[in-house]
Amino acid sequence: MNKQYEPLFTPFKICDVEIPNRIVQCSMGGTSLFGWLEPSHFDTEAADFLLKRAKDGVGLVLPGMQVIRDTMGRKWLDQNRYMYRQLKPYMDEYHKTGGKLFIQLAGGFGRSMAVTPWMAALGRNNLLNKLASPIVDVQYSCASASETPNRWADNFDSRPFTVEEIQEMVWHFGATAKKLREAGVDGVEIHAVHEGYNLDQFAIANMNFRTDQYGGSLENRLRFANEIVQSIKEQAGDDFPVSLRYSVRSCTKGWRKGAMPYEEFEEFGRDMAESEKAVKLLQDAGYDFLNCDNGTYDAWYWAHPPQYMPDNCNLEDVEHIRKFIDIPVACAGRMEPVKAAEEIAAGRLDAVAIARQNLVDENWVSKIKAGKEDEIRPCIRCHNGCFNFAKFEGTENIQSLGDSLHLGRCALNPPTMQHKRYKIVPTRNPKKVAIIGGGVGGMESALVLKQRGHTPVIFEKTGELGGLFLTASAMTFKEHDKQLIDWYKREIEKAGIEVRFNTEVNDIGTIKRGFDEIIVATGSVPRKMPQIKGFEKTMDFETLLKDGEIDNPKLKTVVFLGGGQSSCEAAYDMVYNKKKNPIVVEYGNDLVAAQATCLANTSFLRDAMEYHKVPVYLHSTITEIGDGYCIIKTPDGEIRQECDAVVNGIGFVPAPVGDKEAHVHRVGDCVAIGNLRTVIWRAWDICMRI
Amino acid sequence: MKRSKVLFTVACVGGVGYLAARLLQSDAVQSKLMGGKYDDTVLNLMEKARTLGDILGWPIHFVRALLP
Repeated sequence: MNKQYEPLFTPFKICDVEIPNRIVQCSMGGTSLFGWLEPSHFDTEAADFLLKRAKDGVGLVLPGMQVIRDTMGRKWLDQNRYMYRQLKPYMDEYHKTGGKLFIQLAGGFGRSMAVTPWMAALGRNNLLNKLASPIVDVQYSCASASETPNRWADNFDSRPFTVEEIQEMVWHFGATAKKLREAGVDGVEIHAVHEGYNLDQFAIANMNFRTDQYGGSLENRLRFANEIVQSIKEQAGDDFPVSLRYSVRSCTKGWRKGAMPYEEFEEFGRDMAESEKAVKLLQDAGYDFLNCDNGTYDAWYWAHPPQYMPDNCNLEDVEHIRKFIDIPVACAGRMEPVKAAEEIAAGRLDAVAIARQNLVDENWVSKIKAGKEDEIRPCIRCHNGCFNFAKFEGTENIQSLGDSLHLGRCALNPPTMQHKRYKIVPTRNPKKVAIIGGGVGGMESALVLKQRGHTPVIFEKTGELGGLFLTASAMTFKEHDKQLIDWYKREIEKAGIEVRFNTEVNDIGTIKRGFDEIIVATGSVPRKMPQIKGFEKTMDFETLLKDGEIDNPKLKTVVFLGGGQSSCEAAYDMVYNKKKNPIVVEYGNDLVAAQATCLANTSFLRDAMEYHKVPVYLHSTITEIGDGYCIIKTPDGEIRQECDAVVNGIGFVPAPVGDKEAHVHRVGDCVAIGNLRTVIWRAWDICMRI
Repeated sequence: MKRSKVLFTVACVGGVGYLAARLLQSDAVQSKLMGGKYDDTVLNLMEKARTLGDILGWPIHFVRALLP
């Protein structure tokens, strides 16, 4: 092992429990040991995933959050005796790894509940909500400290919890912790005075207008969280460790408005001064460990940092708050293991909390121990498989039902949390498979086929593997995307897969004879709109990003035709890193108005455009492109905009080679335009069955 | 007599169902189904079946929770 990682592999204590090393797997929704939003049960898929993490060497695993009362069916978590009976032998097995496991118990979502359209419809109508309440009570699930606006749905406010409801919940936290301890669980984490969840809504003055014992002073606002730890200590024992998920600062400017990492702003939520007092009160109440980061649902990119956020984005704040307490503290949020090890060695931090990397590579800890860091598949913070709650102006949470039910999967690693669906089964009938296209779809297909015992051969028309992802990863802040391409290249080489570079296949017939199966992974091409006068003058993303035109000093003002993710990312790179003047023209009512991208990612881009004062024209289009100008048609009339280039950001269209026929399969964007998740999962779907 | 007939029928149906499921999962059938032309249709149907299975699982979880 590289010496710089050594501080990560030293033990530390939470209460009286020794954690074998400093690596904490942060809780991720969906990896919940008792199921996600469905009626609680012992979830064998999550159990398998969590056990593998412990076997890999994670010191402390925190399964996905577990709401103390089921959202579906409304049973309290402590009422399911059958589930605890199944838990006991699992914990015996788990402890053989030497790792520890704390269950994260949640006080609910409050106004942060990612309500879908049907939930919002129920919640807005008292009669419908009452009728549905034996199964799902949306108003209860969204209840908060006070009447506050839902993060996701317009015209839908949370109702305040009654004191009786709060105290009932407090008791059940204690009762559940007792049952967990009896089943062999090592501790619990309370979720959360963090991220703007329910207990955080009680703690934040601007979200809590109560006049009873749970509102007003900081002590009162933290009373709910503090009564929970006291109930747990009373029922489960003083020596049963209780961690708290905690946001040091909210980094929130107002309802649905986050602050950029480099922005000076007036804090709407919890500021550092209040946090310094709050952590002391929480420690005094009985919490044994603080698992920290920053943010709220309104500034979601702090708690779930996408690729645009800097690495270790919460570290400075977390280290600051640690000075005010004696209990150990972990830091989460794009943490680099090397940096974390340095901070732990220097005594500024006790543990590092890492989440999504655990989904991408099931052996990343073992690989560090073995000195094989270059074999770790990097997380690119896309959130496409694990956490794709999506929203844009005027919508609720528009995530698909299948995704709502299965968070915690991984775009890059399909077997994560679906190990029965995606698995490598050696073939009994080895075949020679031609793969046309050396992008991510082609490379993933080749790796899966090779592992199964087939012989794949990649035909790549250029001299480099990576395909369209070379363009997508060209932006300054996409260092993890670039690492992913490098990882693929190394894996292809290591697996001994034949790649025929500079070989374009335009006719499947030319290669049919030598191969049993053909996979077409030829990607997509930019969509064209010849009805726009001068459209042929537009620049495509490949020229702008991959070919480096973005760095051309003559290119100062650039108009993006289309406000999708690619345009917004490029515009952000231009304005923030290249100090240029992007302008975005979008036909729809919002930027990145798409179902597949997580709100943590899209809200960053929207907030960034606003902060950097990037001109954004919604409900608008370009009607003419000339030399040095374009005409933008807005709802208020036409504007002549001087510019150095217009970038075609209206999307892509599939570009498959050949027809659909027997033994010819399509993978990736040549099927339908998607993202890395659709590309990689499809590659597995096809290649597992060849 | 009647009861044993019912049990025999249930066992037969279960057995045939089990064998059919195993057959569907086999390499040979899967590669036939995904022959190239109908990849999209088969994958879409499977996705829908999975979601349906998830939802059908909810009442089972709920009833199991009531067990002593």
